[in-house]
Amino acid sequence: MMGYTAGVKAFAAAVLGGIGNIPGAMFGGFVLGIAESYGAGYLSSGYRDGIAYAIMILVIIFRPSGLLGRKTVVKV
Amino acid sequence: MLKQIPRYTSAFFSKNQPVAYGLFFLVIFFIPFYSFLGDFHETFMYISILCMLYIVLALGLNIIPGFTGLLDLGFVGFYAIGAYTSGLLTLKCGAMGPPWDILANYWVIIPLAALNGALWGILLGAPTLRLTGDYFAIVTFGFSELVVLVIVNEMWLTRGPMGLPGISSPSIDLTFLYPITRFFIENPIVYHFKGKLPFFYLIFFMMIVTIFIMNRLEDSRLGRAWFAIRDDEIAAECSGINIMRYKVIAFAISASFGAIGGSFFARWFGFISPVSFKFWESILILCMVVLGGMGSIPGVILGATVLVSLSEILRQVLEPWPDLVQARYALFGIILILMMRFKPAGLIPLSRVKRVMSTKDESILQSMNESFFSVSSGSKKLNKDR
Repeated sequence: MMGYTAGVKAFAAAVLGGIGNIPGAMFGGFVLGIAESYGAGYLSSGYRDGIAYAIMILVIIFRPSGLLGRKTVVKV
Repeated sequence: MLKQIPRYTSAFFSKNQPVAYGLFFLVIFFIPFYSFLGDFHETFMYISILCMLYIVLALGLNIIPGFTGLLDLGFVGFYAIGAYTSGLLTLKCGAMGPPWDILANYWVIIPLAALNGALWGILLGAPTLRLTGDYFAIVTFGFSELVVLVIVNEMWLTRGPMGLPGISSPSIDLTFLYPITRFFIENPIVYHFKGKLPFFYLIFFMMIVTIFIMNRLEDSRLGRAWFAIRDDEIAAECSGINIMRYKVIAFAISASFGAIGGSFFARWFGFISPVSFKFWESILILCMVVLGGMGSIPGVILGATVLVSLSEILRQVLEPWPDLVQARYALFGIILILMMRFKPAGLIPLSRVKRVMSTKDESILQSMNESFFSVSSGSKKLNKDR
């Protein structure tokens, strides 16, 4: 059960950048890592993982296709 | 009319649903009296209570992936919210004195926990339910992790990783009926829950209510809207179903069942800590739903029973080998893989398509089949010609 945090964070970073977008995944990883470290330093180290998840949730809510992702059109 | 049409691919449940449920409830009802089990009886009672708790939880979760067709990886968040609502109300309000200690009464806590769960379900669902697939799953996962992190870090309220010990058992206080009962019994009736027996019947009752509500929901306007959303979101929207509204309702109801399960867990166990609400728990409950058959109520009941009892029995059997106790989860993985290979729709799969296609009038069915086959064979011919 130890590895799942890393796996989930990788997934979160990919979602953050926009799934299917390689620069987006890299950018998402950077954003997540920096946010996590600064959050742990300035806010609270207990919420280290929480900050990462909170940022991920906020990004997904306000930009459902990720930071660099393109909007997809649903075809019927 | 709808009832006449077979609902599950297993003909037994479709035809004899009330009988099957009746037998099931009857067998469970007498579990406390199975004295022939000897020393194993205590353990058996414990496993039964746990099974029924997980049946309530799995049926609650079933609404999201089974009825509405969304992947929810954060169910344990609502379970934790319910457990901590129950635990904190009991401990804090119980110590506060007369006007507030009514809130420490378990019968008041159940609806409060359900409302709190539903509130968080709506708060999480309203902004995120327009997401689809992976995005929604990862948001629910993030939410459940956040809930656990808040519980771990807010020491002033939840005592963090130390947990909340000493949550008292529920009691039935009939003092307010004293003017009536004093004619039969001298003292006011106050019954404190002690041992496994009252908890057994409490969760038994909760399970029956849950199963009843789920069965009614399935056939209601709400349930049919959920099934329509699951089968084809765009078609459902075109038919005039307000997708967001029905999804948020689904989320709220599912969350409130999770919270009710949690509130029971807190009062039954008497101790809650963040360790009980790991991500793993969400996956386990999701496994029960998938194993039994998504959206199928008897399937989910069976799935929960099989997984919980297997896990507990294996833990008892494997006790001499501590390494193997942890490895029993590997067995679940194998079971799920085998299931997906040989019975991909679950133990008791739902047969929605059949329900639409079948009718009492055989001739209509036959003509439908004929037209269907002629169309499909015709298309095959077309493909060959190309």
